[in-house]
Amino acid sequence: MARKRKREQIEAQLEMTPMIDVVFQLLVFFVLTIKPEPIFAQLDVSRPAPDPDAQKEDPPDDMINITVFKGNRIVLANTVVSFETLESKLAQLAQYSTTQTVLIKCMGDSEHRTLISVLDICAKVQLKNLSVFSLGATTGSRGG
Amino acid sequence: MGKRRAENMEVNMTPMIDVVFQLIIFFIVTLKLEEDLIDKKIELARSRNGPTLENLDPKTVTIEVTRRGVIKIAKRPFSPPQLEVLMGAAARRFNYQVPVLVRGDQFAQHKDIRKVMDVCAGVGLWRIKFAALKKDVTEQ
Repeated sequence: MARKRKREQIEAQLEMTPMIDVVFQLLVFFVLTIKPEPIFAQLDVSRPAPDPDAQKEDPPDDMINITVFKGNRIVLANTVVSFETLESKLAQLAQYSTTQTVLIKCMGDSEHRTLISVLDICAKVQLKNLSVFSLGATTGSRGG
Repeated sequence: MGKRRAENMEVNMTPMIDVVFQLIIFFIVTLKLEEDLIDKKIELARSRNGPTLENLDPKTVTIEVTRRGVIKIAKRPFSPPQLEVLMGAAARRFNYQVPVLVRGDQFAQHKDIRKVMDVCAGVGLWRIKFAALKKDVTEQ
């Protein structure tokens, strides 16, 4: 009688093997199909009013003036500079104040990545007040 | 006697199954099933030093500019006048506190990015964020 009860107990056990097989299949599927998301950066700028009259006024002298041209050409204070030079110069200027305004003027035919590179350097040296103007008569009056 | 020894040798599977289920739940929860409303063809420029884009305001309007200068919102192309109507309505509705995120292709020309910036500034949205790639999938 006791032996019969023991056999019933053994037969009632749950068969785990198929479930573990399925679970492993699912696990392998998810491990293979999951794709990590890239990390994005945000670069904040201000855009002054697209009012032509407001743009005629010359910017104050203490502003840092950067002009972005086509072909990764950057001009800082009337001098063509490389990205490395721009970084060192901006780092020097940022030592005095990180709140001074940086005026970035972009030519219409310049590539967007050049502007992003300049904004990246500004972020690196902690310059926060960034204004982006547009130059070049491509769509009406000068914007910015 | 022999039977008892054989029963004692059995591997206890419960903790392993627990762990496996935890992993499956993790993957199911983190899997993004809904399709993103962004154009995957847009190649963003790199910015390693920019602040990480996270906790984006739900009111944020993401405007994309393709390499050819097409302006898109949620994969739908917009002309500058259409964009102006949309952004004007959004700005008025949210009291001019609408964050604007511009996802411009790295090879897009500034004159096309400028159209978006001019429209936003024209409706009173002065602050604009540019999206860039901080870390690629391969770098993680």
